[in-house]
Amino acid sequence: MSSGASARRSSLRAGEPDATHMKRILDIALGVVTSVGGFLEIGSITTAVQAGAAFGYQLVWSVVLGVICIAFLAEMAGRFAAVSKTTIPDALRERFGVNFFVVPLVVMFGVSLMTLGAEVGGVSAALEMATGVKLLVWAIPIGLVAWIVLWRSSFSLIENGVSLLGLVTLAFAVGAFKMHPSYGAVLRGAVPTLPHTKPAHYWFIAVSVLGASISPYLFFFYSSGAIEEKWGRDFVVANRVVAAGGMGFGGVLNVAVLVLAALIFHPGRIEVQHYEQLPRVLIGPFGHAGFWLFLACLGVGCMGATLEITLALAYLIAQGFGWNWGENLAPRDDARFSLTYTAILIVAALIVLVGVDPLKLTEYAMALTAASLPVGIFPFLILMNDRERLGRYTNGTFGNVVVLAISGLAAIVALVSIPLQLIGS
Amino acid sequence: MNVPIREVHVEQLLGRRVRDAADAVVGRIEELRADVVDGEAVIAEYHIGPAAAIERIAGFLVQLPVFALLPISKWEYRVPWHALDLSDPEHPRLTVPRSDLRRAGPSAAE
Amino acid sequence: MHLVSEVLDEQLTDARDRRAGRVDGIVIELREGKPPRLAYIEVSPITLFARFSRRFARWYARLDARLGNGRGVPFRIPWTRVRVERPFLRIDLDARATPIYALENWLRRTIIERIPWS
Repeated sequence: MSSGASARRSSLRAGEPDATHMKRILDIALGVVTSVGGFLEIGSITTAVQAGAAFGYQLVWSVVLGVICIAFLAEMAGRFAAVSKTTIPDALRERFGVNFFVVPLVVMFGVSLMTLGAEVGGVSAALEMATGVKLLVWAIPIGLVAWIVLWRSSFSLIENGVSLLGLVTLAFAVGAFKMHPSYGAVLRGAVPTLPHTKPAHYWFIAVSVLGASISPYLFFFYSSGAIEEKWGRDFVVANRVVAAGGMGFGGVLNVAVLVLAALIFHPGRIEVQHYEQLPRVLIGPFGHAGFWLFLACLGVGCMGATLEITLALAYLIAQGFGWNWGENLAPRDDARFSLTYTAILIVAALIVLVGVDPLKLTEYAMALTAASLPVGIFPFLILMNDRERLGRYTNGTFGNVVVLAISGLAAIVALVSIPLQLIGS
Repeated sequence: MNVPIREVHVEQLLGRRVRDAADAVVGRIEELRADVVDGEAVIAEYHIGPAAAIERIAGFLVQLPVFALLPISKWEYRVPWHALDLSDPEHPRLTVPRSDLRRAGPSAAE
Repeated sequence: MHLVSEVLDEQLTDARDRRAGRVDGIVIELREGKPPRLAYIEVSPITLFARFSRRFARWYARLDARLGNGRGVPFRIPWTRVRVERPFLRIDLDARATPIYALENWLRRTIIERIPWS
């Protein structure tokens, strides 16, 4: 999942004492729309395609669980920043001390960097399929374009611009509708079931789907964006509406991708092992136009995620060490932050340049993300229950239980299934 | 001749084991409380024992009813400044008998 | 005031509202017959590294010392120049004129300002 939640945040303007009720509603609507546009990226697309191809509708439940969890986490992250006026990395260091802080810092940095490499690979793959020019060639130009966008743009422009372009991913929902799936069968897939075949692969795909949805960089980024946009307590309710609505509709798109893959690949038991196979999910409903639609979806979605993950990692470092930071600052005013995201993009481009297959990298990055969830989420939940920071805005029991249960389960299953998948492959 | 150490780093004290006169371990330094006295910020007491660390790291857990049932040590000593000898910061020692110390549960808001 | 939970690792802002690092260390001064005095906070990679490995911190300090006069030692701010303004601690200094911004200033002059649109 990508910039959806953060995009909808940036559409909600702070400091507008004269904002009318109607304007707030429009802002929320825009927030939901941009959330939807920024939801899909290579992780959510490829894991949903592989889930549908291998197991039909049987893994719809993993998408649903992932979306529920990230909706809760996104809402919590926005609430945390709006009320405490600090970001999550700030609070992690302050509350737990630097000796603990380095643990989530290192784990999340490593896993998110893998994911970033996959996203750059996703854009590269889209351009390779569009032009015939090899994927490796695109790594540096993509890194450069991403760098120029970060160097020159404001936070709002980055988030809103890319997310609005990302509305092209609505094509998945339209395509799934055109293919007339059995909605009853899709709904039955939302109920967790045990696999009939290939149990190791089933659970590996399930945790990869969860990892694609519940990426910790997302809600870390979310809290930073709320500070960039100067949110206050008056945004708490709007944030809740947009997190639920945006993630909910984004989740529908994600399910649509799985449904399309189930209809296109599963009947023939076709294994999806190369990214060149991915466009078939839209060629089915749209013909040749579907090929170009898919490339647009993949390219825009992955570029949005590239920008978001790069910023998220730079925020993590800068906030952890107390540097001046801010996408709304000129690079000369936050030199360390700016050079940090520059270095991160260079590393991401190098990951693609060394020839790592984007599809394989995505699979394992998502599964490792799931395995590492407790490291990012459990401390965050402690912060969300800190009355000194949040007063009456702390979590309710339900939210705590949902997030703990889903992320804990995902981590346990990931730790079991990743080795099994490695042995089996 | 040993020159008494005049400066101590708080972050290096954190987690140090405190021993009493009998060389028995009393607990670890987990927190320092400072007050303003005559316009000067000074150390009033040291919190020794797991409760301060628990409260700092997982404060809300302490408030859950189930926490009382968990077999986790939740005590701490509130050691006044004069009762701790930091002349050797790596080996802090009590200057009073352990029995003189005030023992508390998880520290309440002050 | 609790030093570990309310001062150590807290974000600092300077007199111009710039983020000015974090409290990497706190120095108390022992006094005969009097309570220890809260003397300084330290903002320095040397102090930060020492919380993980004092050997590494000493190595880094030696390296830092080669970069110029006054380098190789942690930067200290007297506690009297620190105010608690939640969620930050404010120092009544311009951080850009202190070693806190040494690397930032060097990067800005040497690299950032040579790149267009900075």
